[in-house]
Amino acid sequence: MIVGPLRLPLLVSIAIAIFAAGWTAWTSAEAARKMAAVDRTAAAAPMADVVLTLKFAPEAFHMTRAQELGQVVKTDGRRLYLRSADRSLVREYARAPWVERVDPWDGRQ
Amino acid sequence: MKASRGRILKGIAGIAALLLAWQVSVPLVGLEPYLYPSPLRVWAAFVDLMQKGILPVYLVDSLGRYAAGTACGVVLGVGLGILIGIDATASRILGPFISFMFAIVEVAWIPIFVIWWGYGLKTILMVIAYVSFFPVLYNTIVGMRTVPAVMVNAARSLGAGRLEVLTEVMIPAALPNIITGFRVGSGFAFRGMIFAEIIAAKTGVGYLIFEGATNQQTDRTMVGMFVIGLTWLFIDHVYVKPVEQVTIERWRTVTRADERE
Repeated sequence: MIVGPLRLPLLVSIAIAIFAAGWTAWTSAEAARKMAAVDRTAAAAPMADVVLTLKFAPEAFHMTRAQELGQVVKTDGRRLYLRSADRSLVREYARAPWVERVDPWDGRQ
Repeated sequence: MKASRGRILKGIAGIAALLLAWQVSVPLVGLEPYLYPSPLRVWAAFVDLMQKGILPVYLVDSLGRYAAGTACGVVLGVGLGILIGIDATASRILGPFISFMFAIVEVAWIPIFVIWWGYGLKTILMVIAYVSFFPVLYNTIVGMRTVPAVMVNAARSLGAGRLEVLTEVMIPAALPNIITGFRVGSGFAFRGMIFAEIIAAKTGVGYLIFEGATNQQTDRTMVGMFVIGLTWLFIDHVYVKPVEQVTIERWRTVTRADERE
C-alpha cells in the first residue's frame, strides 16, 4: 500500500481514470442511441446523408468539426445538413452530449 | 490540522472578497462588458463553454500537447545535463551554444517553427519542449556538479565503475536538483504552450484566449486565463509537489559546492 506524498497523485489518477472510463461508456451508449435511425436506413453504406441536431445554434467550433465528417450543405438554426458523411465519424461526433439527435436525410434541400 | 483549516478558510475568504470587490466595481467603472466583464458574466461564459463542449475539448487538447512537449524537454534536458555535468569536453563544446540559445526567447522561435512545420502540433510541441528544456538542463548540470566528491571517491574505493558511480551515486544525488528543474520547467512549459497556441493552433486554451479577445468575448478570454491558472495549480499541487517531496526526502544528499573537497 502506497502511503505518504504519492497517495494523493495515485488516488487522483485512479479517480480520473474511472471518470474517463465511465464517460466513454456513457457517451458510446448515447452515440448508439442517437445513431439508431441512421443505422436502420443505411446499415450497409459507409457514407450517409444525415441531419445533426445540436442543443444550440452551432458555433465555429462545432462547424469546423462537422466539416470533417462530410460535406456541410446547409445549416438551419440548430440543424446541420451533411451529405456523404462518414458514418463512423458521425458516430464519434454523436458522442458529444451537445448533439441532441442524428437523423437520416433524403438529400433534398 | 486546525491551523491548516484556518489557512484554507482565510484563503477562501480572501478570494471571495476579491471577487466581491470586482463584481461591485463593474457598475461603478461603467465600461462595456466586452472591456470589463463582471465575475458573474465570466462564470456564465464558463458554463456556456462547458455546455457547448468547447472548453473540455480545448483543455484536453492543451493538456495532451503540454504532457508530450514537457516530456520531450525534460528527457533532453536531463540527458544533456548529465552529459555536460560529468564531461568537461562536452561542457566546453555545448556550453556556449546552449547559453546562446537560452537567450533567445521562445516567442522568437515560433515564426521559424511555423515556416518549418506549419501551424499545428509539431510547432507547439517544439515550443513547449524548448521552454521546459533549459530549466531542467541547468538544474541537472548544477546537480551533477555539486555531488560531494567524497561520495564519488567512496564509491570508487569500494570498486564501483564509471557507470555505477553515475547511476548509483551521481544521478540519485542530483535528483533533488533535477526535480526542481522539472518543476520550474513544467511551469514555464505552460506559458510556452499558451504562446504557441495563440499563434499556431486552432484549438486549445491559448487559442480560446486569443479567439475570445479577437471576437470581443472578453469573458471567454478570462475563462481561459482562469482555467490555465487553476489547471497549473492542480497539476503542481497534485502531481509535481508530491514527486518533489518524495525525491527530496529520499535523496537529500546534495551539499553546497564549497563543501566539496
